[in-house]
This record gives sequence, structure tokens and C-alpha cells, in this order.
Amino acid sequence: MSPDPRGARTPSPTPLAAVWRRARVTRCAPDGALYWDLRVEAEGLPAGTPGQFSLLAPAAPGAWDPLLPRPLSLLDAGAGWQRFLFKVVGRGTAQLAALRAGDRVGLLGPLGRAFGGLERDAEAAGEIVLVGGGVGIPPLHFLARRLSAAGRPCRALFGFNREAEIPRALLAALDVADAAGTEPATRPAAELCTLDGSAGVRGNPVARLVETLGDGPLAIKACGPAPMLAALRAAARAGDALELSLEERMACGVGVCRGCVVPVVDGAGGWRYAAICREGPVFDAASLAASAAAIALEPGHE
Amino acid sequence: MSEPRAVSLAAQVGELRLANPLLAASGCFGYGLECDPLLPPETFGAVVTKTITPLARAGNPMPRIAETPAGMLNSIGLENVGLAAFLADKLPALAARGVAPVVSIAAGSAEEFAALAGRLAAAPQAIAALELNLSCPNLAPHGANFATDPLAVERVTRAVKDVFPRAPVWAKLSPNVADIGLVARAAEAAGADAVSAINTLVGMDIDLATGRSPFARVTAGLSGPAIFPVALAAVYRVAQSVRIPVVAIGGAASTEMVLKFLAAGASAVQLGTALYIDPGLPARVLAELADALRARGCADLKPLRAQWLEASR
Ligand SMILES: Cc1cc2nc3c(=O)[nH]c(=O)nc-3n(C[C@H](O)[C@H](O)[C@H](O)COP(=O)(O)OP(=O)(O)OC[C@H]3O[C@@H](n4cnc5c(N)ncnc54)[C@H](O)[C@@H]3O)c2cc1C
Ligand SMILES: Cc1cc2nc3c(=O)[nH]c(=O)nc-3n(C[C@H](O)[C@H](O)[C@H](O)COP(=O)(O)O)c2cc1C
Ligand code: FES
Repeated sequence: MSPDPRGARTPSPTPLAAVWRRARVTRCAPDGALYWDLRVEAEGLPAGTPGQFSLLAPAAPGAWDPLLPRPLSLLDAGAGWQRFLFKVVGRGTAQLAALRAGDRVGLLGPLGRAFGGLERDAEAAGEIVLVGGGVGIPPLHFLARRLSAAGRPCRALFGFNREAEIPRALLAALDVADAAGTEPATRPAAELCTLDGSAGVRGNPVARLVETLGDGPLAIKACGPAPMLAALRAAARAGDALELSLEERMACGVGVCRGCVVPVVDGAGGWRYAAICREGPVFDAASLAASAAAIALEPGHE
Repeated sequence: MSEPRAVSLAAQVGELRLANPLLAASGCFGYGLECDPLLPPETFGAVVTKTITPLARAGNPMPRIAETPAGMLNSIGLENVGLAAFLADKLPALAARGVAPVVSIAAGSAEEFAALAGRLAAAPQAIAALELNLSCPNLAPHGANFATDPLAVERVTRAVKDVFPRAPVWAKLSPNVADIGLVARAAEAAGADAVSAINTLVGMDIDLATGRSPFARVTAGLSGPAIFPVALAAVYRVAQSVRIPVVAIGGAASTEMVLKFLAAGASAVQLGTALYIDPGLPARVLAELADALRARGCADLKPLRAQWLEASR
């Protein structure tokens, strides 16, 4: 085979576990100053795992505005139901926020690659640390509860702008530690950070992680704004295993439109585009190419 | 009560017989198996695979998609695995599944098109048809847009026909021309077995915060329900201009839209962007088409099309 990774053999596609349903909304209510808590049910909906997401179609069938469904991470899920926590940022999420119990919403899911660590029993790295900010927190919250239930305690560092934005649903399921930290109880423990210091520790969760780094290797799992993920990549040490959940605008959610790609390393020094919706959203940081900016526009036709 | 009448949705695009008139449009369904079992390739009368080029292409940098009212802009840039990987992996995988795809190809010159077609002609696997993507707007500098030039369309089509006798050759046309009927006639004159209409419209967006287009190539391709009226007019115009069959593409996202394409003279209809809006659409359209036939007392699509075509004269 040619060393050019773009010419590399592509594995045959693995089957999708996702289903398409018009799901029934069982709950849609505001939580905190920014977030909405949405729960849906649908027959035959497979239970997803932490890090996976679904595409939700806010427009009524045939309305086509907005046209495309919106990706939301699973906050919780079981066979036949899924729960999301989302922030209203534009038209699509505003339409989702207007849903009421009994309404129907188009749903494609569960999609994507989940966080590792739940099924692989002994990861090389030691302590598991979850680092999340804003809308990146729901999948980590799901992961924290799953890890806890599996008897694998983790340390969760969650960052918000200010106390009023913190959704109660999250707090209820966590043992929120004070700045000194507490021992994990039956519920997973989380340390909260706020930028204005109105709750938990003042500052952001990456700074908090760096401040409290010990000697042992960490398994860090993160989801949040791009600058936060970049700071984490810079902070992670050679022995740490870092998993990042990425966000991008999506159309198909299954890897066929190629609208949501990120460069990943492939072969000796090469790279290729991976679909975030299919090969991610969770990636090992080591598999992500150093800089997408290095990738130039292709010349006209090869 | 009598049993509901058995109806056949079988469609005929020239020599090619399809179990139903719905096809997955190129670039919207990957290489045919990625959506399985959510949307198995057998759902469609045929699957048009992602356009392949002689060499693999990484495509354009991000961002690649944006939304418009009832439409989407894409600047994917023909990301594809290239001919070698298509022959080694994609075509055999489809063949193992019993699926004969419509293979979409693009290249930079008539000679390159012919070379690609020649390699495909030698492939041992079944190919339902070859679709020439003459109109991808995402290639530099202003799109390798053969489809704006009837002479270029004729040259490419003839070059491919010469080396690809094993299955029908379809010419996929661009709406970004003054008279698509003229271009369709050029394809017909060069021996095309059918015409596919249309590819995406040239569109763009401007991010007011930066004053720039979000896309590295500035303009992008517009698809989705927003372009349906344009596509319908193009299909009608092409159907009036040539005797070869027309395969309709552009914004179809409901049974009504599919029926309108058939009424305008299409032999089959490709679904693209609609698959993202609602993966359940193909199955629903097929059920509703069968209902429409029963309601009109037709056993298959032929009399329905004939009736509309008659009325449109
Ligand atoms: C895998 C994945 C999981 C996600 N999980 C969650 C979640 O659990 N909770 C949550 O609140 N949000 C989540 N998001 C982000 C969410 O999808 C976007 O906020 C939403 O699509 C915006 O749609 P809109 O119509 O409201 O906004 P639009 O009107 O489309 O855009 C408004 C603003 O939001 C930005 N935006 C649009 N789409 C995205 C996107 N996909 N990612 C980031 N910014 C975007 C736009 O640039 C714009 O500034 C997730 C995104 C991905 C890709
Ligand atoms: C994401 C995307 C990728 C596409 N890629 C191709 C392609 O590789 N080759 C091609 O001939 N057309 C391509 N198209 C165009 C479609 O096949 C179709 O002609 C167009 O989208 C209009 O139909 P629609 O409105 O039903 O999507 C692409 C369209 C989209 C949305
Ligand atoms: S959204 Fe289509 S490839 Fe990811």
C-alpha cells in the first residue's frame, strides 16, 4: 500500500446501532438559568453509553426549518428512553426547548463512539479524572455515574460561568465536594468550578486539575469548549491517557456526508479526515493530528 | 371488502430495471453500506455511490456545511477514497451484499474520465450504471464544471461511452446554466443513456461577524427542499428536450415531490439531503407511492406517468 494515508485501505463499515424514531417527549423543563432537561421515550430505542449522542429533529415533519437535526449528548439512557441536558443557543435548540410532554420529536440515535474505561477493565493509566465545561458536562455526568456504579471511582471537575447556571439535575445526582475535596460516596463526587467564584472553586476546571496534579498517571476524559480541550492537551503529561469529545456541526450523524471531519493521524506522519459523528465524538488525543491549520486547501484536481 | 390491489413500484431507466423509483443520490449515502442496517441499500431501487476521482481526495477544510431556510450549503470538496480503494474495498463489499451500484465518477479531463471508466469497465463486480459527475461545484478554481459547456459534456460523454459498453452511462447535469435543455441534448448526442438532473446550485453565506464566507472556497453547493422548484423546472425542461430518460434529483423530501418529479417526466428520483432530515423517508415514500397507485386504480407507475406527460403537452 502507498504510505499516503489518504490512499490507505479503509475498513469495511461497522453496523450502526442507531434507530430513527418519532420519540415521545416525557419531560422538557428548564433547569438553572441556561439549561433544559429533556427526556424522550421510543420503542426499540437502544440504550446508549456515555459519550454517545443522538440527533434530534426539532422541526415538525415537512416544516424543514431548521432543516437539519441537532446533536445532543446522552445525559442518561436506558432501553427505550434517553435524557438530554441542553443549552438554548439558536433556533434549533429554542424549538427543542418549546417541546412539551406528549409531543413528538424525530430522533436518530444512539450515535458515535463512547468514552472508554467502562468496558476495558484495567486501563494502563491510574486515576480517572473527568474534566468538563458548560454543555460538555452532560456526557461526563453520565460517565461519572456509570463508573461509580461499576465500582470505579473517578474525580470529576466541572466548570460553569456562575452559580445560577448550574443545573439542579446534575447536582442532585452528585456528591458535590467543597474546594478541599471529599471522599467519593455511593454517588460520584464532583468538584465544581465557577469563573466568578459564586460556587465551588473560582476558576476553570483545567487550571484546577493542573493545581492538584499528583505524580501518578491519569486517565483524563474531557468534553467542553475547544479552548478548554486545547488547554488540557497542553497540560496532559506523557503518561496520561487523554480522551476528548469533540463538537462539530452535523448533517447525517453517521459518517456519510463528510460534513463533520477532523484530521487524525494515520500511518507514518500522515493524516486523514475522520468523521466526528462516526469515529468520534470521543477520540484519543494521541490520534488527533496536531493542527488542522496545517492542512491546506487541496489543489484543484489531482 | 376486497384485498388491497397488488401494485408494482418497479421503474425503468432505459434498459435498467429498478425495483422502485427511489435512488440514493451521490455523496449523500457514502459507498452504500455505511447506513446499514438503519437504511439498508436494498431500500432503494439503486444506490449512487459517492463520486470517486482517479486519486483519493481529502476534501475541503472545515467548516463544510451550513444551513439555509429549508436547505443546506455544502463544501465537502469531493472527499473520496479514490479509484484504487473503491475497486479494492467498496465495490467488492457491495457485490458481496448483492448490490449493483450506480457508480459516480469525476475527473479533470475527458481523457481522465475515460481512464476511470475503463478501469471500472474491467471490474469483475456488477455495476448498474455509470453516472458522470460533470458538475461538482466544489473543485477549484471555479468548479471543474464541464456541465456548463455543451461541447465539454459531449466530449466527456463520448470518451466514456467508447470505453464503457457494459452498463448505461448517465450524465449528471448542473443547474448553473442558462439552458439545461441544451446541455442535455449534448449528452444525448454523445450517446448518454440517461441524464441525471440536477446537482447542487451555487450558493454562499456571509458571517457578519467576520464579513467573510464561512467556506474556504467561498461559494458552496445548495441542496435540500429549498431547491426543489428549480430542480422540477430543470427536469421538465430536460424531459422536453431529449428522448433519453431523466433521473430527477434536487430537494425531494416527500411523496408529493417524488410524484411531481415523475409527472415532470422523470423515470426515477434520487433522494439526497432528505436522507439526513428523516432516514425513515424512503420507506414512507414507497408505502405512500403504492397507496397513490391504488387510489388511482393503477397497477404500476407507467399509466400514472403517461397520464401526467399527456396532460403536460
Ligand atoms: C456530539 C455533540 C454533542 C452535543 N451535546 C450537547 C449537549 O449535550 N448539550 C448542549 O446543550 N449542546 C450540545 N451540543 C451542541 C448543540 O448541538 C448545538 O448547540 C446546537 O446544535 C445548536 O443548534 P441551534 O439551532 O440552537 O443553533 P444555531 O442557530 O444552529 O447556531 C447558534 C450558535 O450555536 C453554534 N453552534 C451550532 N451548532 C453547533 C454545534 N454542533 N456545536 C457547537 N456550536 C454550535 C453556532 O456556531 C452559533 O453560534 C452537542 C454537539 C455535538 C456535535
Ligand atoms: C453533503 C453532500 C455531498 C454531495 N456529494 C456529491 C458527490 O460526491 N457527487 C455528486 O454527483 N453529487 C454530490 N452531491 C449532490 C447530490 O447528489 C444532489 O445532486 C444534490 O444534493 C441535490 O439533491 P438533494 O437536494 O436531494 O440533496 C452532494 C450533496 C450533498 C448534500
Ligand atoms: S455529520 Fe455527516 S459525516 Fe458527520
